Amino acid sequence: MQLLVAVINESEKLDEILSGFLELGITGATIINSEGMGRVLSHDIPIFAGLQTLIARSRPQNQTLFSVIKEEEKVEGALALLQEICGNFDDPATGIAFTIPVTRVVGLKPELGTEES
Amino acid sequence: MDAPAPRSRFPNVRQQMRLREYLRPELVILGLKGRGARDAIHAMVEQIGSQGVVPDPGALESALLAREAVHTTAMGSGVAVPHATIEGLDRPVVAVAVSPEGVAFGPVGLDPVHVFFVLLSPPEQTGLHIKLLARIARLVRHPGLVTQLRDASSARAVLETLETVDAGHV
Repeated sequence: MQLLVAVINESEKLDEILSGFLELGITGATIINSEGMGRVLSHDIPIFAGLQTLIARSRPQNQTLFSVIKEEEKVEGALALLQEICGNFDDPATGIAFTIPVTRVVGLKPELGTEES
Repeated sequence: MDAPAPRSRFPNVRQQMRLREYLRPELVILGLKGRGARDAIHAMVEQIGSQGVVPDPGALESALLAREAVHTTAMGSGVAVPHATIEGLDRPVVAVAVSPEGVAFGPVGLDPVHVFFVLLSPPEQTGLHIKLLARIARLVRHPGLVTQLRDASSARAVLETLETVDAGHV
């Protein structure tokens, strides 16, 4: 069981990502509005204002998605899906995703099965 | 000989569900005409009924119309996904109907619908039903897909186009 954390830079892609999660059988995720370090530094701290190195990698706002996923196969699917939709996360200003092992969870709803025998 | 399907960009990810598994050549409807949602649904149900897919086409038509009455299944960009759970199926089935002229479907101001995916599932497979809805919703964003389907000249071309796009996505 893993906690998937993904920072999505292009908010407009979020609905496509969530549709894809449903396809994989992942029915739960929490999304929060967030802001990247580059944006905060270049806009809120005067000494860094206008620095292109920071601005080029920043967007006004991004979204951070959290999802606890039980099955390893679905974690792999989710990571592939994120990059299919957002682009290769190794490229700048696309996003970032990582997973953390989860040892215990309470309140996790069942994921969607296929139901076909 | 059939052209090989394109490989996924993520070969290590097991493919969980493919739309193509639920498509049938006899359920591809070309040249759909209709003056509105009711007409179009009637025509599609006639075709589905004529293939013996559902035991009670009348019940299917009522279910699809009831769903449209709750909220349109038109998604914009020329696509609608009328759907219902129906007794008498063992597994989901997806009919595809293409209307080159377009059908006024859903609220005034929405683009005419050129491609319909009619998704029918047994009531006990609602999880899979939702997954298939999500899959269709994502695949129809593929650039050029709706135009390719709208302009397809045969059922085979419709299925091949869909299979190619289906295989190319996670």
